[in-house]
Amino acid sequence: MDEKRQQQIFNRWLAEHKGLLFKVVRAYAFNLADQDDLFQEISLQLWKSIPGFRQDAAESTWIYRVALNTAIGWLRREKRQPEASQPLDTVEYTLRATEIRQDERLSWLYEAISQLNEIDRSLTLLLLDGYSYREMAAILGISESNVGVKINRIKKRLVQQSKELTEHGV
Amino acid sequence: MKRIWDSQNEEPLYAINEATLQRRIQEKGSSISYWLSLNEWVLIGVTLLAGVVLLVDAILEGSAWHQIASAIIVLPIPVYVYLMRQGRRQRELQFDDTMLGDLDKAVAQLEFRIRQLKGFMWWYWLPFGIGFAISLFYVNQWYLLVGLMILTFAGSRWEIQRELNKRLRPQREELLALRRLLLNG
Repeated sequence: MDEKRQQQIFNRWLAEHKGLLFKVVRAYAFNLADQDDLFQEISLQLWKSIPGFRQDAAESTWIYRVALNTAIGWLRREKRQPEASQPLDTVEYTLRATEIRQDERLSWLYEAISQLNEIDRSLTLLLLDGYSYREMAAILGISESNVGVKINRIKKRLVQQSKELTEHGV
Repeated sequence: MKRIWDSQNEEPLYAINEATLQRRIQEKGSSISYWLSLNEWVLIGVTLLAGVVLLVDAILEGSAWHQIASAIIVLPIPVYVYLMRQGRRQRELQFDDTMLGDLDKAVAQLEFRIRQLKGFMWWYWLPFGIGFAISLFYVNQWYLLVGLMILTFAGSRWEIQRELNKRLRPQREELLALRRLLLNG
């Protein structure tokens, strides 16, 4: 594949699926500098993955897999070397926060997701974006029954947390 | 919950600076691919150059049997490194396009690196050292140079053990823990 074609595909993926990428970035990184670093890393891995993309897979499924794998790898590196990605003041960011006022319930949901382990975070994102157990199993490479067990546990935990929040009048 | 989640689809939280992103991708992409193969190509280059120099010297000097012996010991090393590299690249194509497949690939890459480092002393350094030790046979005070080589050998071994224990083995354990979490967690 020539670089021009690769660039065209990358630009289209970025335009059509940026919402998906933002969700992954926000679920795995918690300040703008880290989110920017993770977004760059995901973009790079996506760009590199384009020649290996097979047309029989849905684009969003492929992009989700690459983004989640990259985020999990990034998180491991961050735990090991937390100072490695601290940017300088002069560094130009690739992401800029928009002026939109955030829904508090959405912030709470991200906060709840951030407390899950890295694998459960991936599953929660896929679940909330409406992926079937079969699709989740295909992305993660595990059995559908294994997905089911994990999802049940995650649902129970999230529902419990939301009840506690309601009981406290939030 | 789904309704709250979907509310972000209409109003993205970020705007992308596409020009900067493009530049960063090109910078990072080229540096990663560069560093990935550098280690193998340096080994191939250094051992090939050393072997050829020894062989050419031996041919030019006529009956320098010890230099021919050195070249014969050193020259198979770059071929071995090249074949190992090809094998690694071939194996990397065999993993599934899933999160589990990517994890297995990362584990396999780390294990290759661990094997490569563990074998470095015996498959690269030792033949290289023996080759040069033979070629130094007729040099005055050759025992000083051999002593220096033994010290370098010991130093390299210490550094390799440190790299294995401080970085590569803990990384492999982390990946295996993540794999267990994915399969059983």
